Amino acid sequence: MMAARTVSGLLLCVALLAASWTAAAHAPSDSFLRLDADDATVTGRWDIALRDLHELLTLDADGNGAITWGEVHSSRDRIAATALGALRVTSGAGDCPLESGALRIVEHSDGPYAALALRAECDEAPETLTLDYDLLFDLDAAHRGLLRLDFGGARSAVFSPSEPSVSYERDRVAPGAMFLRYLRQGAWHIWAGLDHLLFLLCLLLPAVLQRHGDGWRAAPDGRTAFVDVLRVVTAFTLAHALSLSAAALDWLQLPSRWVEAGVAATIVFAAANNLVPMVQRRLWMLAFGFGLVHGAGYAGVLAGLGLPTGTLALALLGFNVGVEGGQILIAALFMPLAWLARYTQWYRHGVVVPGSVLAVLVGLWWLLQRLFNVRLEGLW
Amino acid sequence: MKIIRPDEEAHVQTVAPGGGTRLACALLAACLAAPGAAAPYVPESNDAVLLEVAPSDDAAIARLRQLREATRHAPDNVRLVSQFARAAIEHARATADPRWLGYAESALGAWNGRDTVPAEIRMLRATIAQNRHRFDSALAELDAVIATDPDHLQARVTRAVIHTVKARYDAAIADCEAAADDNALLLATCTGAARSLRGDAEAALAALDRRLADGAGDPGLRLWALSVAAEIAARLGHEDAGARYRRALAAPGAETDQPLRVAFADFLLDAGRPQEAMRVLAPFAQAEDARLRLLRARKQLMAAGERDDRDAWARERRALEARFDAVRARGGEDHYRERAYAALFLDEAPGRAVWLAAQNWRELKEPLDARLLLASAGAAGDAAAAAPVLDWMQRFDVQDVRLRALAAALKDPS
Repeated sequence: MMAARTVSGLLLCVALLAASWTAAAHAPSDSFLRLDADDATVTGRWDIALRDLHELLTLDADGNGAITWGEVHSSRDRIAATALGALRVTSGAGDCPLESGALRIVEHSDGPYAALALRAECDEAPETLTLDYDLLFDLDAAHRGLLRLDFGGARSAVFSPSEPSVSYERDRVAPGAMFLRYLRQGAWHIWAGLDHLLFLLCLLLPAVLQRHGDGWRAAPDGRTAFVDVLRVVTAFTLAHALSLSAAALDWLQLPSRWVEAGVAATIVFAAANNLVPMVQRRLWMLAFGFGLVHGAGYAGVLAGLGLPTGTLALALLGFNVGVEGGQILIAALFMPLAWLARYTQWYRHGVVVPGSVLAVLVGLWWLLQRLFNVRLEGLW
Repeated sequence: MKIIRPDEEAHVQTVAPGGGTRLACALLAACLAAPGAAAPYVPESNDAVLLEVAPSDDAAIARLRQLREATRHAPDNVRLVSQFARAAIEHARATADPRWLGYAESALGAWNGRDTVPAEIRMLRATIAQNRHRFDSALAELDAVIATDPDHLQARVTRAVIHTVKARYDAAIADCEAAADDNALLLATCTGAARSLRGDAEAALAALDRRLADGAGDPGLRLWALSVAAEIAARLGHEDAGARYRRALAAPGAETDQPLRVAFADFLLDAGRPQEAMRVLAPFAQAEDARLRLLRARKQLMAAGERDDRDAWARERRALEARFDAVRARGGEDHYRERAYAALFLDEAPGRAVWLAAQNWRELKEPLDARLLLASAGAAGDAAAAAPVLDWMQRFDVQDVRLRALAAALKDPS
């Protein structure tokens, strides 16, 4: 009797030797749910660990121990069905049916997650919002859902088996808040997106000058320079509005690494063009073509904001108007200074040339980073 | 370089766009900083490998999944459920993957809220609670098991371990005596840590050596005994402590014994032997405890001029801190011990270390915890903060050369 008990007891003893031992090589299971409730539409993004999705859905279809993007993508419908089945959004007026949008990958500190765009359509703008969460709990009682909700104001919550739902009352916000918010986001991202800014500056640097033989001379009249700048900025913005919208609506899915590298390449070209003229006339066409590349690069930013695929025209419009406004602001700050300095030698030799050289170098550095670092992603 | 991550947006939105200085700084930073923002992306090809997992022909995982599937069809079958939960807990421990603890907890869910719970199920719940440092819930389960079956060996031994961590040495020894019955090696091992911290270290070590020399006990128990003996010898400052650790590491079952490796690594690092510590930790280099010690080892090597990878070191340090933050964000453990260790040995921030170590001391009272509070109080020149540890040392006549040296330095700073 004693011997038998000792054996069974010591099996577990091994696990108990160090009572205070918790060291984990892996993080416990979390998902990250971000939702924005605007008017009648709730939009957002849900990041679910690939490790967890594999446990639920066996993503590794060929069983070779490596989950590939192809395997994740071909499980898209099952992933979406699992997610939509595990979350309920209810307003005071009733159910807000959930739809899923684009599926991407996002890296969190403990590994890759599937990032699924979400959208719920309520009958009317909800005054109260209830979220019922039931992902993974019957498999893993230690799973937690980390919620960040914008419902007038910012809220956060942790879903657990003992607290699987939350309800919130709306914080009062003025109508059109979504438009304003995305406008702000757009304007901000022109500042934060250093690579887009640098590209624009490269195009603007020589705008007050004209090529003349091997050198430069000051542009003859302000109107010509102004119209040129307006053309460049507008062409750039229109083009990237096009490709950005296409990417955000999931019509266009390009590998992020190549898009990011492409953005860097446009900077190198635009800056080099100031030093060794390649394209001089119709600069706006160059701006349009390169704007398409930059717009695709913004898609990652929008996905980061939790903009879903779907017909969120207002949000997209706001974002684009914000970007355009940001660009006009930069042009408006930069152009008068450049205009005043256009006759001076230091503007040509102290600003245009060194600035372009610096931009070429920075652009090349980004290009190398983005070509050879697979993990590079985002704004820069 | 400021990188916008989804979880930083709230902050970013409030930052007003700056002027030329900001641009210049950003340009410079962009050229120097490593990339790595976390925005969603589309991988570049279908063949891009995103995650390594166990292949489908991995027999151990396949068996665990099979067991789990069986429990889902019979969620209140005590035998099936406890078989799976035990296997899952052991797997969680061997691979340091806490998800399997969660799977075990889910499998045990059928008994949540029930009044009568089989002892086996309670034991498993206690094990999980203890692994998560929820000592009060663990004790409640163990008390319930022992109330119905006072001779329950596993419950007694487990409770003794918790009592030891909580510095309730008499209660620990009483549980060991009730459990061990006529098993002398188990008695010597179970009581070893408690006796050695209660002023009886030499005798406890001698008892362990005597029982180990008998050759009795199964491998799991012998490994435990060897580990306890090595730690007592280290506390007593015996010359053979290192050899004892090596002997324990060579014993069957030691491959997956992370706490033993971590304790040995601390011993080696205290002796200024970082290379050896890194070798000892290599098999578990991804576990949080091991990462802390590896960082400390690398710091020692850098200080000695034998290694220069400050940037990589700083990145790894930040990544580890991010892990602790992430666990707290989900309402998990506070990691006071680990964060105090990091503040003291990695960041050389004694002020922060004192606070963290003091918080930790309220929960954990093992020699390492005492060490953290004494050392950081000494470094911060805050002798008052160390009072609880000094009381503990005096009350139990704790025999530990390092702790005594730290205490003496604290009382007489000159």
